[in-house]
Amino acid sequence: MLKDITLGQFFPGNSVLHKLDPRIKIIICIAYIVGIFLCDSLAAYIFLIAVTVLLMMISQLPIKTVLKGIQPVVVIIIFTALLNVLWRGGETELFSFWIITIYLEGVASAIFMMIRIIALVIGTCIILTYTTSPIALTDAIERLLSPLRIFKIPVHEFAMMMTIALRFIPTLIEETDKIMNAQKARGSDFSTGSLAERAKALVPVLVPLFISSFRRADELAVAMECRCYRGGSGRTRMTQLRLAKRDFLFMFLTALFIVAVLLINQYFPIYIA
Amino acid sequence: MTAAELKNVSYIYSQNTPFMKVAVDNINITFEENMTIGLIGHTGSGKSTVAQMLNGILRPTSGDVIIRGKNMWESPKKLKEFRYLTGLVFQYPEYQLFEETVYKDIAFGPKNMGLAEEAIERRVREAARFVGLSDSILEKSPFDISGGQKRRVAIAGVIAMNPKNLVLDEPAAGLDPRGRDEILGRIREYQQQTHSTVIMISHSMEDMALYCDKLVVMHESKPIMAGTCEEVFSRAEELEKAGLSVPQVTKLMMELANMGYDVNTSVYTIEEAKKELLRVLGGEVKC
Repeated sequence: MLKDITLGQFFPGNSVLHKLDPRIKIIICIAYIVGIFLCDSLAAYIFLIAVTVLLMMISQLPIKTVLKGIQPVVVIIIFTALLNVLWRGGETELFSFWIITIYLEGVASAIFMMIRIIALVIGTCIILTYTTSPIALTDAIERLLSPLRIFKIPVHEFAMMMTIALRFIPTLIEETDKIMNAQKARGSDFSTGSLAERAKALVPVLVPLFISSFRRADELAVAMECRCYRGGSGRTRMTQLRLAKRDFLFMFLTALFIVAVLLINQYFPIYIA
Repeated sequence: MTAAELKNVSYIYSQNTPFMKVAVDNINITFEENMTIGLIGHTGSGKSTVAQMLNGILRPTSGDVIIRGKNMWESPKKLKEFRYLTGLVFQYPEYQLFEETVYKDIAFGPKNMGLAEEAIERRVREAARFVGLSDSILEKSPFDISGGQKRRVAIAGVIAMNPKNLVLDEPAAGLDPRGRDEILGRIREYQQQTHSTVIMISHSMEDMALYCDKLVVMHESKPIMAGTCEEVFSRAEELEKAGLSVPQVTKLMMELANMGYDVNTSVYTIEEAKKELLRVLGGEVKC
């Protein structure tokens, strides 16, 4: 049950996207998001959809898994779409009933908003979370943020905290699952009853979970001290990040993507809204 | 009537993902009533999956689980009844304790069953007695007692629900030899007094030989042998292929037989071995 959470879950594979340098992937991801918000004309949106589908194909991820990533934001998508349809004014009236008047412009901007959000979620999932292991990701964040050390910001410590937190998410999920099962075997019921009853049913899960988390944190601290961990300074790495040809290629393609979006906006300004 | 039956049961973890794993592959196992049955197998052979299917925690990908003549997944609404019918003690169950006192923790199961206060009290005390917990411990916090005692509290928490079948996943894992003998002995006594069916998972052949009436051996998601201890341990070679072995004393007897002594090799416990050796030596022991 808890294993069904997919947003932000690494999906091992062997595609080019999996092999890209995680630092580059973060940069590409940011550029891609900027690109999404630069889209302005109908043609640009179509281009955006094409690029997203292309990314999906390159990543070789099962389409089902990718689409599952949208699930958590479905409510937001529907809400934004509704707001746009109902409140956005315009010139071409499509439909009018009582106090509700729906304009073509409203429908169009609702559709564009939906495309934007879906492209945003799918794109970031494909470029970052699905194809990058959490450890590689924090590693990259640490490297990208390392210039901040000049301002005495403990970048390494933050990265280590993040690594540990990410590392223990699956462990905690597994542990929660196990404890829930154990309490279910003793007759606990998590899925029926009123909200208050269900919240109360979680106590037998949360107490053991907290206790074991503290125990685990303590053990981890001792284990790290045993291996002489004393912070980031002077620490070397087992996996060195090195840029390969494909990283430069993808950087170039990303730049091309943004330029293309801008050009399309400029030369094919097909607006409905 | 059989205690539990698995009919053409398969279980696949994370189906349709790269993490897919077949844990149990189209198996048929019958657990008879009123005895202690050992479920043995190497790590990853599917024993724990079987245990969790017996209690309805896992739903088989295909096949039927029949508990005391009733099909478990016929109407999923009645699942709770099956949970009470078959108690399940997980591996390292001490990590599931949460209440303020040991008493309350053991009472958690019976309370969920909706029993009256007096009935709960009776069951808690009975269960505590079965696992050998004294009354003074009942009022302590489950976080202030020793590891072995915690384990007993957790087992008592399941026994207090009076299950007809009791499934224990490695009840003795991580305990010292004395704690192990004590717990397994208590479980055995419990089974004999209540005439329930106890299914124990372990990979210790010695424990199994000592405390079980029958054994089921799992290997690579399938049961490869089932029968009494004698029947199973007489097939030492096959066991070894499955990454398991016969008890150490049995090995010793086999070695002795190889060296030409006239000993019976179907000996599985130290007590039996002692008798057998004394018989061969003619009752006289000189040191």
